[in-house]
Amino acid sequence: MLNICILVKPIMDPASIKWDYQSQEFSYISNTFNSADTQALQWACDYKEKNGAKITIITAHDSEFTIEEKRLLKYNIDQWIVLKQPELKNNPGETAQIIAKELSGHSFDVILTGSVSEDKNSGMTPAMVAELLFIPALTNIHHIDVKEEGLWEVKRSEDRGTVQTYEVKLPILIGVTNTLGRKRYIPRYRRPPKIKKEIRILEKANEQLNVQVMKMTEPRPNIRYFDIPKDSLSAEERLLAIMGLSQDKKEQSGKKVASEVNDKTIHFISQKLQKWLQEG
Amino acid sequence: METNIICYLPLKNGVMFTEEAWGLVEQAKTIYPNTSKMTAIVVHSGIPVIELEQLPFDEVYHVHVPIEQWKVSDYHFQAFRRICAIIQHQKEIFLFSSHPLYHDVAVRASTRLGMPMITNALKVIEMENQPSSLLVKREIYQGKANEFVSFAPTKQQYLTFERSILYGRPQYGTPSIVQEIDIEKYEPSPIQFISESEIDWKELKLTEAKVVIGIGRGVQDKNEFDSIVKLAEIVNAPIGGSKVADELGLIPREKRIGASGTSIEADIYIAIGISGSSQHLEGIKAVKHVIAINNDPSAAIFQRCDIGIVGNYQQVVPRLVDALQAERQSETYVEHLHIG
Repeated sequence: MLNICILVKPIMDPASIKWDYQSQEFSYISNTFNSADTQALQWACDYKEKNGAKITIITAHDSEFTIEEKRLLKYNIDQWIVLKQPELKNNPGETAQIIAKELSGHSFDVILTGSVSEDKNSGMTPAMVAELLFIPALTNIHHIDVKEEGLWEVKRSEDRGTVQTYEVKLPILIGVTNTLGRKRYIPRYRRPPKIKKEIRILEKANEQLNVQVMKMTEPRPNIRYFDIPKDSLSAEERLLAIMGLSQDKKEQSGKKVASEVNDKTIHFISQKLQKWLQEG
Repeated sequence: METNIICYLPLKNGVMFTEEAWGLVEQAKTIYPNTSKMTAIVVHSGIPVIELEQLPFDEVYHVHVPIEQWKVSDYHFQAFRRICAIIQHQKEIFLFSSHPLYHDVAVRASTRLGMPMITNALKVIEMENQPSSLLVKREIYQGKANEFVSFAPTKQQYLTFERSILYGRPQYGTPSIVQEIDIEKYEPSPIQFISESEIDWKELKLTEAKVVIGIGRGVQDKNEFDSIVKLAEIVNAPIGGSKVADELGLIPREKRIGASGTSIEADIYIAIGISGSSQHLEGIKAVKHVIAINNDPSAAIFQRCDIGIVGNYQQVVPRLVDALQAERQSETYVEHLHIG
């Protein structure tokens, strides 16, 4: 029976969060779990249903961060280890360190997690944990086939439309993408008799930060400059011009729009298409 | 203090420098332009030495790895460590592409040595009050905010660049050192590369495709699909469509493109019979190139497109298919001649 560990990262939900331009900070903050991590968890639960497995979740978060436990408890897990450390969010590499330290005391066949977190977008924790544990890692996996218990076949999207297939021997850390499975409503599984939950309160890291966040800013807004209609136009014509429906606009777009379908036009488009295809 | 900028050059299938590699070179040249030395690390599976001798770097170190091993980051990491044992400087900044293969090498190397790392950089500038320190701009929370981070002063620093900003033209130079590092035996990896395949256009997701075809009200009959399907086969593009196309039953609901459907980031979008409502344009705002075919010259899609044809798609698409097929056939013929 496989012993599976899932690293689940609690995050501020990027879907709800908004940058408040006035106060220069985030508003509409709500907490959730990294969706690729929950995809990994969902995959592990599906595997457990069919083949049997022991699933342990490890979450590491800042002591001040509150998480909605129910959202994880509805999965069919056996053990949950919670690591809490003050000011963890300010120290990017520390999460991998404390997870690796915790994992070094356990023996897992496979560690599954999301390749990248939706909040910080750094993608460092999976490979760092693997390196600290001296086990191999393969990230950006979107499909897993279990050939034998100790031998898996996994697929990774290389570029757009290209898929690479790898065969991996366990133990290994696999970083998955959001597309590992189809997102679906997770019914409340029949809760196992007992979920072993362990909470470890860790001391604040003393190490000096080697990467510092200097500032956070709003994304640059997309500003589009429209042509100012000529004064000589009537109100109606000006309105049509702004809407892009006037004859004037048609003439402007005429530079890139061909109104005659001839061999020259077709050749031009097919050549452009080929060129753009080769660019990628 | 001289800083050595070390670029781990990304390659296409281990044998070709692409715009991504030249983009990394361009980024490297903007970092400490006057006080740095430039070194290239090339882990390849068959690039001719003459190409390596023309790279725009002061020093080039290269390792040849068989293609099956080249696809696995474990072997890159072993090659990287061997090269790093040769190049020792007072201060080093290692630059990588954020492609998963190179990203994994960078993270492992920085972790092994306990050195700082910043990933997915969008822009790197020198800090105003500390010219020897770098300020790196990154996108966080799915583009809803930007973060500016800097390294603590350390001997080595690792930086990966977002692939979308790595785009450049070929550059040439005369390196003073071009050295091949011979690795007699690699430690075997438990990860084995099996194969690489292209996903068929029918299975390809709209969000993952390089080319997407969109159909709208102008394509009113499913029976007229033949030429569009042929075009989809040739350019390996999934077929999506506008809200109207969905409501007319021309496409399934999950293939709807726009504010009420999927937002796509394809390189090329071919809009056939689509007027270009603001909701639809919202869904294609991240597309690089748009080709529009519509018989209404006032269609808003023509304001967004790079190339547009005012005409009936039933005439345009078959001719475009013929032109592309002729092009492909001539390419195959040329390849055949070369092989022969």
